Amino acid sequence: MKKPWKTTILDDYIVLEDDVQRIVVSGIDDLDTTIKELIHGSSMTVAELERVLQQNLDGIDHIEWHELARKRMWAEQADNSEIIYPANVSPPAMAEKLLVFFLDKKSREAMLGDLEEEYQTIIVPRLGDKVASLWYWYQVFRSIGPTILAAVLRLASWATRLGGGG
Amino acid sequence: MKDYLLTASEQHIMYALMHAGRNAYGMTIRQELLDRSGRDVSIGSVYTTLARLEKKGFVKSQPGEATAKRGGRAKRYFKITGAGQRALTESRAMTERMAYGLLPEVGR
Repeated sequence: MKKPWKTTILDDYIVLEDDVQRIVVSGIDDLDTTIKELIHGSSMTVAELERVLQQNLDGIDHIEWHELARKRMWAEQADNSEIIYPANVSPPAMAEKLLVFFLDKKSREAMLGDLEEEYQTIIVPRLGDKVASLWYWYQVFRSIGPTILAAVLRLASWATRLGGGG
Repeated sequence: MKDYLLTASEQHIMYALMHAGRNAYGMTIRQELLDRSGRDVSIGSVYTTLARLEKKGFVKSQPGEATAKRGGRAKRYFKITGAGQRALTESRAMTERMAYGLLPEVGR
């Protein structure tokens, strides 16, 4: 039996991830909540998932599939001798975890991806992996500030509304 | 409805977003800001501002493709809305009205 997907479900898209692939299904604004709950943490295969979505949306045209077999892609890059991101050069894990802790769910995926893309494609080739790690930590600390501030302002606004209403 | 005047940071982000065009996502917006203004804005600030603009209806976003160089994480593409265009035009016009007569390049 397939391992359950690690799922992230937002209003307009679902991300399903397991050990070898990540699937982003967008355009699901009209999908019923009960169907989203059915998908969440399920073990259904990709074909089953596609069938459920087809049956519960007006048309599959509304869905954009972005399938990524992460390990396969890296293997293909290596085979083509075009690999420019050595597998051992990845951002500092602790710094990533720290950022994940402070980020809200909606921007987490995109922000971590943007930071890693810049790290892999610009910073590592330019500065080398050791200085690039420092750069990554620096970006994490710089990014946490505005994120915390935004959270505090949201909380303050909520508290003000609560106080005004009581 | 009263017009919303964008802050300088919001305007810069929106201009960067327009320059990046169809390829406007966090990293390219950050790079546009760096290339055009020399300001190294943190990715956290970029996303905080974009989230605020999206909440106000001035930009909209949609998920994009995931790639290996992003650790398999999906991009999020941003696009300016009609309301965003109007807010940007009005904010710029307001700045010019305030500066009119004080700066030679704006007018006498």
